[in-house]
Amino acid sequence: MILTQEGDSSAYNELLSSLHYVLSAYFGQRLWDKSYEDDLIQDTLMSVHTSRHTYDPYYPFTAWLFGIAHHKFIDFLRKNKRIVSHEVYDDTLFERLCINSNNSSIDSRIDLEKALDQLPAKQKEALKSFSLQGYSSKDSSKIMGIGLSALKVNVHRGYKRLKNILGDDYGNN
Amino acid sequence: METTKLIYSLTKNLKPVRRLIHPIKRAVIWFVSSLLFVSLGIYWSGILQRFSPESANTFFILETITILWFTFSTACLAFLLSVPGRFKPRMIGYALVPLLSWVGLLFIQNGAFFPVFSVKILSSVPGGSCARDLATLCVVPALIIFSMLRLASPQKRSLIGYVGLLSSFGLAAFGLQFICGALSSPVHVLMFHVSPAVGLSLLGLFFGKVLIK
Repeated sequence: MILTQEGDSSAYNELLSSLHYVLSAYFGQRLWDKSYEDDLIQDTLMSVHTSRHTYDPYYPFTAWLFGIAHHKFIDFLRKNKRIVSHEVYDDTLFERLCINSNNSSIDSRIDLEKALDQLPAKQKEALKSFSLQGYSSKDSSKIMGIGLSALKVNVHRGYKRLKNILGDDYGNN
Repeated sequence: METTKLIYSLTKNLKPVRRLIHPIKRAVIWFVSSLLFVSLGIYWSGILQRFSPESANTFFILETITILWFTFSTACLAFLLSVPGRFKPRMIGYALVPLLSWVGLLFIQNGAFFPVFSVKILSSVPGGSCARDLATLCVVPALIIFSMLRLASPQKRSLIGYVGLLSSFGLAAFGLQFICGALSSPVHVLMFHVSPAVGLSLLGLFFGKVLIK
């Protein structure tokens, strides 16, 4: 870390690579869903980067590092709680949208395509990748280059908007 | 983005950084510079004339020392909080102990009889101007401490904002010691010096979140 503060990029590379494993173990013990681990590690590494001038070699490095990691974890819990409580995730809704359509399967497909075209690009992409093409949420988020929670938010909002667009076809069910 | 790519991008354009000086040293720098501004504020207002040597009794000196202790301690706490991994729960005492000592001193001064809700006493000592002076004197120290806290890497921004503003109000309360004409009334000091300082500092919870990033 001292070399890093002096601008030694190879030492920094070595440090961050080893921190990757340390943080992976740290968050691995605390997370119930491992898919969030990478996001948290990356957030923490970014914070380590922006806070590197605050490290004082007279004090333990681990206390400094885990101070940042702990804060990132608490932040994550707060954000995640907000998403869980407001953005109710329903992965069967898409199938129900298709099944409940009164039209034939071809018509449904056409309706669905039209409805999807009315969605914002990100929501459309998220729905196509996650629900139509059958990628896992982790893979979909990688394909789209966004975080897992952002993907889930996009999928949920897409479902909600689709439900409104398809309206009566989805109907009372 | 994959973590390995992130690590590569972070190391690619690495520049040397200047290590931040120790939190306590930063607290000293803030304390000295802000004290200078508060002193200048008192002097330029011409209100120093209202302070008479007769009012400088033992309690006044003790109270002033306690306020300075409170101010410096809370500033230390704010700067310690701004560095990751440096805060320990027992450090809350840095702010709590001097604050309680200050209030305790006011109780002792009043002979342990404290008619806080006595309207008669409160109305005899107007306190509106004290609250206004407190807020005015606090502005420059608050601006300095917030700009200094921004240089670090604050994690608990709201808490840091609160503690930072608390120390600024502490310094403003020190200034009031030389401005206020009703220092002889502990009830007045409690109601119009201590309470506004602690209460208005709650604004720091918001300012900390907005200004310290």
